[in-house]
Parts: sequence; structure tokens; C-alpha cells
Amino acid sequence: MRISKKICLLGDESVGKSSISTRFADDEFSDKYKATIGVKLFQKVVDLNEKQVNLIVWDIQGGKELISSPQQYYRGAHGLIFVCDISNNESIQNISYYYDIVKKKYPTAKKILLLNKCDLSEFSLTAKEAMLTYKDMFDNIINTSAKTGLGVNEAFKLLASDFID
Amino acid sequence: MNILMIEDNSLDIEIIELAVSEVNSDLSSEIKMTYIKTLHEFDEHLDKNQSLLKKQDIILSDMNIPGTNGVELMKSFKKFEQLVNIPFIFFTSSLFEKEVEDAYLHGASDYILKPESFEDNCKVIKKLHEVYGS
Ligand SMILES: Nc1nc2c(ncn2[C@@H]2O[C@H](COP(=O)(O)OP(=O)(O)OP(=O)(O)O)[C@@H](O)[C@H]2O)c(=O)[nH]1
Ligand SMILES: [Mg+2]
Repeated sequence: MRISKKICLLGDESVGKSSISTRFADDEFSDKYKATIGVKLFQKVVDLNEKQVNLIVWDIQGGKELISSPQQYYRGAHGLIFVCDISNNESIQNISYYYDIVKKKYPTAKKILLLNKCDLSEFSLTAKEAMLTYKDMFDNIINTSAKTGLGVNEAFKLLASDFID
Repeated sequence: MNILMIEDNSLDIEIIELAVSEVNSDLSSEIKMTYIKTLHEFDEHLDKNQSLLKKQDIILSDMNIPGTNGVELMKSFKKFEQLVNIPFIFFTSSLFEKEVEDAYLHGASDYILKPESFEDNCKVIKKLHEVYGS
């Protein structure tokens, strides 16, 4: 039997949520930015030791503002992927904002943080400091690059593995 | 840019109409709205002369239309070769997992929750213009 799980992506505009979803689902990447409006769905089956998990990825439009009733998007999520852009300090600091929206509603959902665009820059001091605070909030923190593919499949596999035991 | 909105709620139409004129004056854009309010009206366009449908850049559809639902509308729309590539976008006031999945399974381009404030409606229109406008 195959199980299906809803995974939501959260984070600022332009941090790479759609790029990560596309890299995961289709193994593709584009340098062109096309803003997500509302939510886009991606789907892929992850194989784990002879078990299969169907991940339905909800790639939700980024930014604090436009999401007028965020709970409608996140409702029923089994896993939450927070994404920031390591070359953009504000996006790193804003992670705590997204975390606060969902932490009470989804205490049991697995939460991982992706430090995306690792191909672009080194970690700034702000980034390093923020990581110290985030270490205890997330089940995992993973360096990713949607561009090179670094860490992307690992992140989704890690989430999926949580659903089969 | 031509947007066809399938929407039976006059209040929602009024808000979008206002938001579009705000955006048009802000961006000096020329977004032109057309509204279809009933299934009957939609079917008529589909059955007879599709000229109005063909010239749209996007379709913005509610999910709840008396007598049918948005996904069924989209399926009948996308049956036509000359219409299949026009992005069909859902713009609804509630969001249910199965409905969203169903919509994407049948070729939806986006799925947007109707914002509450006028300002946020303007932002949605701006984003639609940015992504689909040229
Ligand atoms: N160099 C580099 N660029 C990236 C990476 N991930 C995304 N990008 C680029 O960053 C821009 C934004 O990426 P998106 O995936 O659209 O960002 P998003 O988070 O989905 O943005 P919204 O839909 O507005 O919330 C695009 O131009 C991508 O090509 C990455 O890992 N490395
Ligand atoms: Mg996006």
C-alpha cells in the first residue's frame, strides 16, 4: 500500500520554494523567476526500503502579506518545509515568523529548514547566528541548492522516512 | 490583457472590477475584464461562437458555480484544442485538499484563495498581470 502525505513549503518570496519543488518533482531548474500566486501542487513518489510514500507538495506563494488566511493552505499538513535564501538575511530572519504561524496548529508535523541558494554565497554572520536559534526549532536543517540539486532529494527523503515507521 | 472571470457573486465581481481599475491606473496597464455569471452563459459561449473565449489571456474561475463546479467547467473548456492552452486559474473563497488536487490533476494553472481586503485583491491582480500579462 502506498501512503500519501501533504507537505507544505513556507518562506519569503523568491527564496526558491518553486525551484526546490521543480527540482524534486521534475529534476529541472530555471534561472527565470516566475512568482507563485496562491498554491501550486507537485507530486512525486519516494521509494524507501521497498516502501513508497507519495508526497504531495504544496508550493505556497511566499511573503508575509498576501496570504490572507494561511491556515486554509496549511490545513492537514503532515510535513512543513521552511525555506530561506542564504544570500538574503531578511529571509533568514523571517523564518521565525512562518514558524510562529504554524507551530501551534501543527505541533506533531515534522519541520525542516532548508538553507537554499548555497551555490551563491558563503554563510554570513547573521546567518550563522540565526542558525543557533533555529537549531532547536527544527527536526533538521539542510543546505540546499535548487540550481545544482544539492540536498533537495535528501530533504524530501528525510521527511518521507518519518512517515513509514 | 484580457481576463475572463467566471463568478456568480456580484459582490466579488464588484471588488475585482474596482481592483482592476486601481491596478490599471497604477501600472498604466490595460487589463480588460469580462464576466460570465452562469453555467448557461458559459455553455452558450462554448457551444456557439468561441471568439470571446479565444481572445482571453487567462480564465479566472470560482469553484462553486450553481449547477456545476469549477473543475467540471475547466474540463469542458479544455476539451477544445483552441482553448486548451489558455491558463485556467481557480479563484475561490475556500480551499479543500481534494478540490485543489482534482483541479491540478485536470490542468489548473494556479489555485488562489480570494483575499479579504481590497488591497490584497489589487496585489493578486498585479501578480496575475506580472506573470501572464505579456
Ligand atoms: N543560484 C540559485 N538561484 C536559485 C536557487 N533557487 C532558486 N533560485 C532562483 O531564485 C529565483 C526565485 O526562485 P523561486 O523558486 O521562484 O522562488 P519562490 O520561493 O517560489 O518565490 P515565490 O513564488 O514568489 O514565493 C528564481 O530566479 C530562481 O531561478 C538556487 O538554489 N540557487
Ligand atoms: Mg514560487
